[in-house]
Amino acid sequence: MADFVLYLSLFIIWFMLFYHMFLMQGGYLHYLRHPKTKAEWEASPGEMPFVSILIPAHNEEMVIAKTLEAMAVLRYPKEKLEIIVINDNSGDRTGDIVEAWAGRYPFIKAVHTRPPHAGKGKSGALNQGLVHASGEVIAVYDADNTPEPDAIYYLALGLNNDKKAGAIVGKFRVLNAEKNLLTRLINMETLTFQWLAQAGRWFWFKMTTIPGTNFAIRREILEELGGWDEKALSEDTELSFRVYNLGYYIRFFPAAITWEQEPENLKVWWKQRMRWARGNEYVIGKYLFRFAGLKNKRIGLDLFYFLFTYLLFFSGILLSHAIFITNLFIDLELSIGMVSYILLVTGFLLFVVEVWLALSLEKGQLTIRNAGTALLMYFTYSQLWLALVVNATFAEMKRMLMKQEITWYKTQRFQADARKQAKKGNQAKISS
Amino acid sequence: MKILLKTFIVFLLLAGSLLPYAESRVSAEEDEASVLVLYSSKDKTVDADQRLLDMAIGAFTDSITFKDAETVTVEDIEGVTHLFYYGKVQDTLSSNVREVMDTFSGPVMALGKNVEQLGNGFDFVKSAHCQTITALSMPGQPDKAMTIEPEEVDGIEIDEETEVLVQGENKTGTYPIMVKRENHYYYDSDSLVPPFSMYFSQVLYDVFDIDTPAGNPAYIRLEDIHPLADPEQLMAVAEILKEKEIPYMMAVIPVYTDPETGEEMHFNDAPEVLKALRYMQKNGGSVILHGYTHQYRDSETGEGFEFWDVENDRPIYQGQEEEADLRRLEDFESREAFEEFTEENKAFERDYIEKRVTRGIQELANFGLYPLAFEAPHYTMSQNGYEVVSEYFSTYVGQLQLHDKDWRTMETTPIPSKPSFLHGMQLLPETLGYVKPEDDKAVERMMKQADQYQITDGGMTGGFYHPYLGVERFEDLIEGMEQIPDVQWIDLKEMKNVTTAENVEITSGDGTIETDINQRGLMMTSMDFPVYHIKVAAEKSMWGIAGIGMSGVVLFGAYMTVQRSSRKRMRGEK
Repeated sequence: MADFVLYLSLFIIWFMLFYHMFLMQGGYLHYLRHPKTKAEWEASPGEMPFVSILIPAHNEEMVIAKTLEAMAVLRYPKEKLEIIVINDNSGDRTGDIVEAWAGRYPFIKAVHTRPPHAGKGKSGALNQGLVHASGEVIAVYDADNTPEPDAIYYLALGLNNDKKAGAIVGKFRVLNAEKNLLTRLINMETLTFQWLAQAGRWFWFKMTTIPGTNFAIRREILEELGGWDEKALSEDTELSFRVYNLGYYIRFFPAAITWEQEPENLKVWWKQRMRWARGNEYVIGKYLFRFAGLKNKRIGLDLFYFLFTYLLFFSGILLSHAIFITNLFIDLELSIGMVSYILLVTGFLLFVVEVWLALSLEKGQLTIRNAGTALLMYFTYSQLWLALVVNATFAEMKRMLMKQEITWYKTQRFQADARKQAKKGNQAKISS
Repeated sequence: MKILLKTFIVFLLLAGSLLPYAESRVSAEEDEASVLVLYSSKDKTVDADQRLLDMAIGAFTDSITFKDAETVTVEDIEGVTHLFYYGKVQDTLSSNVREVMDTFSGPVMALGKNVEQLGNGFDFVKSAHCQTITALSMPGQPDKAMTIEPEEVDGIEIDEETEVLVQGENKTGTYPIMVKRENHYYYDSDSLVPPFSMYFSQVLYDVFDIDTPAGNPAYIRLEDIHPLADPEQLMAVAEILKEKEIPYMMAVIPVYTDPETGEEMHFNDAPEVLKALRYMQKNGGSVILHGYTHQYRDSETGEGFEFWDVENDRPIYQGQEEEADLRRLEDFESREAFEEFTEENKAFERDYIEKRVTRGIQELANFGLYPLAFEAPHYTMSQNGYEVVSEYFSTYVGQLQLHDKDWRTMETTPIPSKPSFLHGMQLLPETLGYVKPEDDKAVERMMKQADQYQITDGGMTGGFYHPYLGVERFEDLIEGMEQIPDVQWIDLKEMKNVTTAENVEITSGDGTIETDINQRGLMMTSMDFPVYHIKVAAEKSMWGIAGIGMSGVVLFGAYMTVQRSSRKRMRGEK
């Protein structure tokens, strides 16, 4: 029996790991191929569209000024650009700060929401912003984002040149990567996620998940879809699914870069990731049973991927962990033998080398320190995810059973020196 | 009248031309000897002694009929080619016996008592004084002499025209033991156990008019190989035999039962042992099913008796947990009631054996081990048991239990044989015993025995060895056996063997094993069977997975290195 469970969990785990290998391969190929596409499009950019940037902001006084600072210097024809900050029921000075910036720059606008049309989370705020937006392309940034000056240009360039792309997704980098061990781990995680999952899926399947920030979408699509799903905790994943379903694809275009702040302590990290995990589980729940009705069956791939990741993969890991620990105390008479250790080592090496490869695709990231941290990551950060997913799954199941209302957790922002550092990094990047 | 005469002559000519044909038909039938054994025994039934004779004769024909001498009539010798009379007890024989003896024209062999009542053919035998002999020999064959433990024989007197085939000796002289006059043979003893059986079997070549074979067949059997066996020791022994190109047998027990916990261990729990056994099967070894668990009740595998209830010294008539019902005939109201009880017991035993043998064959076959013969644990099995086993196996290896009253009554015979009580199975007799752990001179003793078995031409020298005793003693044994002159190692795979159980048929011949397995049927028989294959596939695919995973590591490592160096180059260029 224990044998059976172990084999089953190993099959599930490795099925997933092979899928990741496959994606990493795709990500690497996309990395190699992408500069050529970028160069071609830059040679014939076409007529640039009018872009509305939506920035939902709920109590963002700590970060919003820096964000708008970066927005103000975007290299994009200002007559074709509007920046709409949705001050969503903030209790702090967010509204004032935004108004001040709006006074200075004509293309910056403030939309203030008040109950009952407010405080319903990011989706609600974005829908409010959409009402006021006049661009044919809608771009979204989180309030803590500082896009590089060319980010919007590249997003628009992508949509201009790729008519089949319903939305285009840029790359995000971590501002406060050097702040502490946690932010360094998050930095490595985001890099790996983008090159493996985003670029890889784009390369093989023409699919990318909208990450919630630094993306642009055609307005007509948003209108056809009726805006964002206000019930979704991870409105971005949800929106991605609907875009696919219209028959468009979502392009990953790493030339468009934004910098964002990541949680600096575990508590914030936990809350933010809980929202993502629960949000993704919500999407699984929403689409799994309607799969037959979906027009674009390719979504199945992603749905399956999510289903696999959140339910099966983590169950597999949990089971194999449980067997491993139980076997330390009670002899389960496992027959597997030597190969289990080889699999363990191989799995670990695969993880590490994939992180390393992703790091090597970003300038200056494959440092000795980061490489060493990757070794540690498997035993710490990855295990944290395990606990998180278990927790999220329970919470989501409870919600479904009790029919609870969802509450939005807005990620807490961090003040100060991290941003300075980041800015330095940013400038260094721009100048290089 | 002339016409009639002519017709008669034509008829005679025709008949004459047909005569050789008729004769050749008769001689063809004679090739298949058909034996009738008449016996006088204490309770008028076939018992241990008759079965010993059965084993001896079974080496020459598988058509053997036993008949109580009292009940014989002249009709009984129809189609019989060889007639035996076995006088185990002194008795007054009916005139029918004498009539049969006088009528029968083929070779006749009489053993033991009552020879004076067997008619004219045996009047060359006169009883004399009883003698104690200490050696046996065959006149004119100096290599066939041996000293024996003192044994008493009745003693006979013969005239000069009678040929002495075997004689006994003591300090005072020689005494005929087996004699022959024309086609009448007389054996002045009723002992058919070694060493007498060796001489008796040798004389049977003459009785059946069969040329003695050249060479001495031999086999070595690795005993009690169960899932807890040491695979390294097995492999060490296997390598020696492979190097020497000696085919051998492996007595395999599919299940090890822990006597303390009752826990069972199968070969899928011991992959290394299984691997060793497969290797052995491929490299000279032939698998023999040696019971299913080699135990009953709470005894240990290899120690316990599986097909004999030793506690009550009777066949297995009840389940492992059940109390034995020991009622005898006198405990029953009627003979019918007792007989019904006996039939029920036998039916239970049949079912018990069938289940274990079927499961044993199926389980081994599922592991890719193909048993070509059967050997009952401790050689203990009832007559009913042999009949059941014969429905599954064509070959039996070891010694035979001669009756159902005491398991200790077991014996061997010098030549491979098909005694009638094995119901068609061929016995490959074990004659040498085994290397006893505590006996330093075990090999020496076995070799002495091997030497004795060469009294019988084509006498089998078969012994067994427990691989857990280690390689050293095994080498001694093998080297000893290699000294047997003109030794011919028996290869079960070269013999025609048939093993059948539900969904499984195994046949051998010409050095190969053919299997006809209904995989679907077999898999449906027990969950354990498909589960084993699934596990094997799972384990194999785990290695595949590890391989693919590792190639991923290498590939990505290579990308990373390329990436790093190209970045360095770019930096350098800047």
